[in-house]
Amino acid sequence: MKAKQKPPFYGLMAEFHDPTALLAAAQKATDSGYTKLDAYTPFPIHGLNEAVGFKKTWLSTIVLCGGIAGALGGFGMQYFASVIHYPLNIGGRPLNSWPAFIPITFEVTVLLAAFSAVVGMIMLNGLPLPYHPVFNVKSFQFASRDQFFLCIESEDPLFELGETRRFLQSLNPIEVNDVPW
Amino acid sequence: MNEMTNESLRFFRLEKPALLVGLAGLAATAVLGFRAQEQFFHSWLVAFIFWMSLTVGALFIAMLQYMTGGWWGYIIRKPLLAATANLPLMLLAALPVYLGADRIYKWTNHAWMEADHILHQKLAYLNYEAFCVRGLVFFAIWNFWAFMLRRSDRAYDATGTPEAALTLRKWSASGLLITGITVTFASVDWMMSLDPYWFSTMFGISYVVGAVLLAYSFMNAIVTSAADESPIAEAADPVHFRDLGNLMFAFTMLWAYTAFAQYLLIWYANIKEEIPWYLIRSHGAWGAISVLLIVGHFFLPFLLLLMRGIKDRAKFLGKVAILIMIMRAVDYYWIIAPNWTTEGHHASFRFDPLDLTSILGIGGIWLFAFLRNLKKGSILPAHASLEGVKEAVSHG
Repeated sequence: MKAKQKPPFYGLMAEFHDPTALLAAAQKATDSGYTKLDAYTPFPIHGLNEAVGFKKTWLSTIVLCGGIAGALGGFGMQYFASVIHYPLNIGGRPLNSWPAFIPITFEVTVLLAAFSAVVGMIMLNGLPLPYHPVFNVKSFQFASRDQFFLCIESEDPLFELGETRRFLQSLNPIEVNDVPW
Repeated sequence: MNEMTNESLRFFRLEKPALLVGLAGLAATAVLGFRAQEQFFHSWLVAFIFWMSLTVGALFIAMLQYMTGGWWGYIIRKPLLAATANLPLMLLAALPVYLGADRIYKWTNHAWMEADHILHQKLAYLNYEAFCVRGLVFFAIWNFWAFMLRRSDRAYDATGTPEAALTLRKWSASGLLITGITVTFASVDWMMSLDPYWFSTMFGISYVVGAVLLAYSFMNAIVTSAADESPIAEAADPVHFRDLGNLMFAFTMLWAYTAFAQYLLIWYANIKEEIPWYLIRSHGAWGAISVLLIVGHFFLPFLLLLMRGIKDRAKFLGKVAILIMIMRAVDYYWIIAPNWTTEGHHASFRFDPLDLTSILGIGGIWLFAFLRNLKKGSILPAHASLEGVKEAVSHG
């Protein structure tokens, strides 16, 4: 069997002037069956996630697990300290004074949930990533300023250099660029 | 000015049934209450507190919306103002509480108060004359600010100028401050003073948060019922409902926080005057209702509103909102009703038909008046937002 050849390009990138044009273009690309595409914008755009066919990630599950671990760990830590390891009679209160444990349990829950959100987000994004081909397009520097980009990746099953370029041209972009590796 | 009143919206069909339920409820309350006068005043207080909290909570959220702006308030702003227009109606509903105060509040008995040293010290605040004067001041202030807010909103609808928006903000900023203070005092007068010995420094904030949560849930229940109808369908997408759900989630957490903080402070301090309040609520039927509140008022809505699948679907969001409203009613009942049946550190549970008829009676009339108010103007604000909804769309 022939080894699958690496495509000569990372993909094709179309540049747009305003968010509405990008939103419409992304929607059209998804509607035409493209699945491996991504949009790059200077600020979040309402509805763009859905337009590029972005599916729910595991992040919320990771945060939930972090939160549950924090709740159990936070309560367990206090229970261990005041009931098992070093029991002290304070004003005749029960050793397991659970109402007093709740504030710290809550804090640790929030702490671990927040940590899992940040760390999970970084990991799911594949960061740190020292090199990414999209930066090979000269005008891409404006993606963090005032321009809007849509990139269809060559890994897409429908990707065909000439055909995809014609498709992107039909979306009325400012220009369409090849993205070399 | 765009006229977007749509009288065919689903919830407007509730107008006639609400009026009928209200009249039937009040008639039943009158008939039953005539034969059980003590019970009438006790039941009426719970019903009054529930609908009063909804009204004043709506005033709070409306002012909060004008202060912060934000897209979440776009489709509930007009219903909020329509609810504040029910304040004069609530003054009528307050009459039995103020006229029958001697059947409700033990501190109206001067001789009994003077016999106890601690209670004697409280007479300067807890006496019938001061109670009535404070009540009049509260209603005057709330009505005035609600009126000015509605008037400024009409002016903003008509002109849309930055000056008109600033006027709205000014009334909201001053209103939040003065309503926050007066509602705190009102909660002490209406509910905390039921047990003149007992006090809690968390009571005021807990009441305010509970009222806001109740009003906010009501607004969610109303707008989600018409989520697929014009013009709400065009104005709100799933993400909009997710925003509404997220805020309801935040208010639920805030309520749990204040409710638990009050318990924690009292439990930890372990002071003779404070703990009986929780002791009578931790045994028997009242103990079971406490558990119901912890589960149904916090854990259940918390877990449900954690899920996007529920927040994004208006139908489910509306059901969670109704659950929270029911739990708010249970919470008010739980705070108020054990006071009548306390013996020592125990209170028996005694549900009376009057509890149901009075809350339905006031509620039916309240809902009828609310829908009439809402019908008078457009269902959506003339100007999308104080900042402009277009920007909100592009910036997410």
